[in-house]
Amino acid sequence: MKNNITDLRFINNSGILSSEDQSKIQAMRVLIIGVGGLGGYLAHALCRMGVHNMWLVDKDSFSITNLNRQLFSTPQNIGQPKVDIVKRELLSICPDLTIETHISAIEELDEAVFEGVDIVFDAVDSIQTKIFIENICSKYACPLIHGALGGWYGQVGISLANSNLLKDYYQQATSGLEQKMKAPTFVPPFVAHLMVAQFVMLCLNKEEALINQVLNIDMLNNELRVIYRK
Amino acid sequence: MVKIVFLNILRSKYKLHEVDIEPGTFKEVFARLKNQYPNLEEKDFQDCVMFVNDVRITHLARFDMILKDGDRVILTHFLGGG
Repeated sequence: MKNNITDLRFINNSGILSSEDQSKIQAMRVLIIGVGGLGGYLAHALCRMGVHNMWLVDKDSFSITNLNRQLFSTPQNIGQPKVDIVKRELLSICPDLTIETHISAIEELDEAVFEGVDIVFDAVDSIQTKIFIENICSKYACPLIHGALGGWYGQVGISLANSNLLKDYYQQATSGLEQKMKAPTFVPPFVAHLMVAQFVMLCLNKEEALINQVLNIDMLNNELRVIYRK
Repeated sequence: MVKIVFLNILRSKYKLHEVDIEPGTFKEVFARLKNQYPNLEEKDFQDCVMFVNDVRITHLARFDMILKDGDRVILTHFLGGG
């Protein structure tokens, strides 16, 4: 592997990425839907991985109940749109980032936002919205990196276009353990960073990527396990 | 044997992870499990999400479902938070 990454910001990626790999990641155009618990960590980690083109979608503003877990939430930015704060913070880390934001629910946004996107991240907190996003990704032949969580538990997977992974997995379900068990501090960053690892695997065509599979994360019992595949 | 896999809150509640048990309908399998582990509550097995060899089995259909030798049954709950 050639380790001639010349941008010093990313030199510590060079143990696992060649310069060609780093360039591939840098060129990726990613759409992150939801920039709360999962999405804030996703945006941050993708930025530090070197992704240079991001679209962020979230209808919400930060609230006091976000402070236990959402990376960019602070008492000072309560009431401000999440995408605006995340954009500001990412640009402070990486000033040459190209970033476009939409304060909107994904269901109300023009589908055109999916055009030209290479990979979509599902970081929303509604099962129905997850399936909605998967449908649009299929329409635009775009891979979807899925994440979800509740209590001690999480899951990640990659839904390739037309696999209907999430549709068949969830079927008619409308909610899960998150209703009772909420979202403790340490679960979103763990799940989000596994999603970023899947992103890197997908970009590099690694056979280990969780293509059309759901990996269950049980942080209470210290176990990762594939529980569903198509 | 049928492999019953308890995940997440069911695993924690019953301190069970993987149990191998004789084939039969899920109703029969549950009765055998209950015989071995009397604290199992039927409601949990009605309410949870069930996959048999990666196929989701709905609540109504599951107790009459025939589980064959080599089947893997996953019992869990959905997650939807983000």
